[in-house]
Amino acid sequence: MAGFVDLYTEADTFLHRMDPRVKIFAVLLLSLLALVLSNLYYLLILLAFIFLLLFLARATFSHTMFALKFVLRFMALIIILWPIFDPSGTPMLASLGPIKITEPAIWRGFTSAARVGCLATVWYILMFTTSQRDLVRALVKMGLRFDFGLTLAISLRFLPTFSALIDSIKDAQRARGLELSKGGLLKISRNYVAILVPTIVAALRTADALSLALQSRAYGARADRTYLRDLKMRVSDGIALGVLVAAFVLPVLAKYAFNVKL
Amino acid sequence: MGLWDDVGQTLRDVFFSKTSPLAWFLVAFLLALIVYHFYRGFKERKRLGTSAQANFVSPKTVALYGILTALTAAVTYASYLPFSPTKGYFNLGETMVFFSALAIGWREGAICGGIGSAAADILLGSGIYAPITAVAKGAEGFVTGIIGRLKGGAHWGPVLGVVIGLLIAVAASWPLPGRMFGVDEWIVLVILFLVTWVVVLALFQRWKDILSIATPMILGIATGGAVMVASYFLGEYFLLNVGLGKALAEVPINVAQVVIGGTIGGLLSFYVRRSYPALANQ
Repeated sequence: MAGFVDLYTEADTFLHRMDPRVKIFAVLLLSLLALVLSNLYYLLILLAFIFLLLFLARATFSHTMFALKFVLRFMALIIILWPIFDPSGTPMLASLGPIKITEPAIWRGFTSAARVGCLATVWYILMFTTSQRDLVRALVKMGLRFDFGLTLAISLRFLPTFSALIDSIKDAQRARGLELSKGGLLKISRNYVAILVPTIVAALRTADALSLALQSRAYGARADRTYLRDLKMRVSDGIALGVLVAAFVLPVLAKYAFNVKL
Repeated sequence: MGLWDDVGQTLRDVFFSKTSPLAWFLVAFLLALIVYHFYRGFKERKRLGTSAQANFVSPKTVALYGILTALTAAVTYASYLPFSPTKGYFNLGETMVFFSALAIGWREGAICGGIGSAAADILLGSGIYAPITAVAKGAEGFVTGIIGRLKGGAHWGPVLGVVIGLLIAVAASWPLPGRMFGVDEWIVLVILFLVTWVVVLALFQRWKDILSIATPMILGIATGGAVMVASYFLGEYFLLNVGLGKALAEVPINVAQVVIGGTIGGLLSFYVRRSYPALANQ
């Protein structure tokens, strides 16, 4: 628990150099595409494409496993539980009391699991290749109010700080004899009060100090905030955006305008 | 076989069917709200020159919201207890949502609870839940903050009686077969309701000093928790389309999370107010 996972890995690939706005747009479009497609094979192709991008982003093995650990478990559960609760379809394979297991239900389970896999892994293209600073700046550039962006930046910046703070308070209370690993769930949870109260008080003090610091640096004095480095769309970003929009629009057109089964 | 089937069918038709105008209206309204917010941001920046007075939220608010969001995510992250595969994971992030909503206000509960929990979901590797979490925990903080921060007092006795009486009457009416002991169902229910009401009122008089303060808080936590569990179920079932089995498997964990998180969050809002009196002026 001590180490705090920062998902961003420093590297110099085309995904790292890409404009974060294009990457946010890409994640949204690919997620929508996963919801539009309903055939297992096309969903698997999309999943392979997402993994290709992750590979090209030079995501380290440990990071990829971290991202996949939860998703794989989730997909396995869907595949196991779906047929049990879905009795529709004709070729019945087995039945036990009220539970009927049919062949189409099993395939539907696999399709849903593939879709969930796409939706869950596509996030990590953005998270692995974009630093928090770039992410917030892209959101502000896309029209988020600057003060809201600042709030988001503050919360992202203080997350590791508070994680470390909670760990050290945990150690301090353990040294005074607090048990956190023994007993049932209720007992452990009750013991967490001794950790949460000092954490919250320290955090509220930090908030007071931070508001003074913001005021002393003339926060909100000028409406048009300027930046040292500004985001600019380059030609390669434009090309990437074009390819993405094509990859989204063509299947959607084929499905809804020309009634191709996808 | 009775009143509740019709009520359930009507609720299903109005809220959950794919052709229901209300559901689509809600979705469209949320989307419009987001688009409008970004549009306002654009216009504001275009309009404001260098000399114009900046119209930002106060630095105090920025600092408090940022810190509370980070704290919610950090507590979720630090108290993460992984369980066996079917149980998913259990955490104490709920306590921070309840704490912000009860001790500071419904805006903080909704915004910091929603965004902080969603950020923790992304950091814990379950980013697929993040949008649902943002809505579910945000709604929980909102509802808990509105109901839980009502003033305590003697008038809560009758209210508590009505709520518990209604709950017991509803729970008892599911298995009732229309007529019982030769009388109609509704007469039994009314008698049950009145008896519960009198019992609760008597108990309230007995433990007035505790119950009159704790009642709005408990009602707020219960309502907010119900909203959260329902949002998770609906989000998983209709949005992620994970199948009924997986969606139902999450319900007991979420209920346990609300019970434990609500207990600790309510306690925290007392303890922290005592050890950090400046909180009352926020």
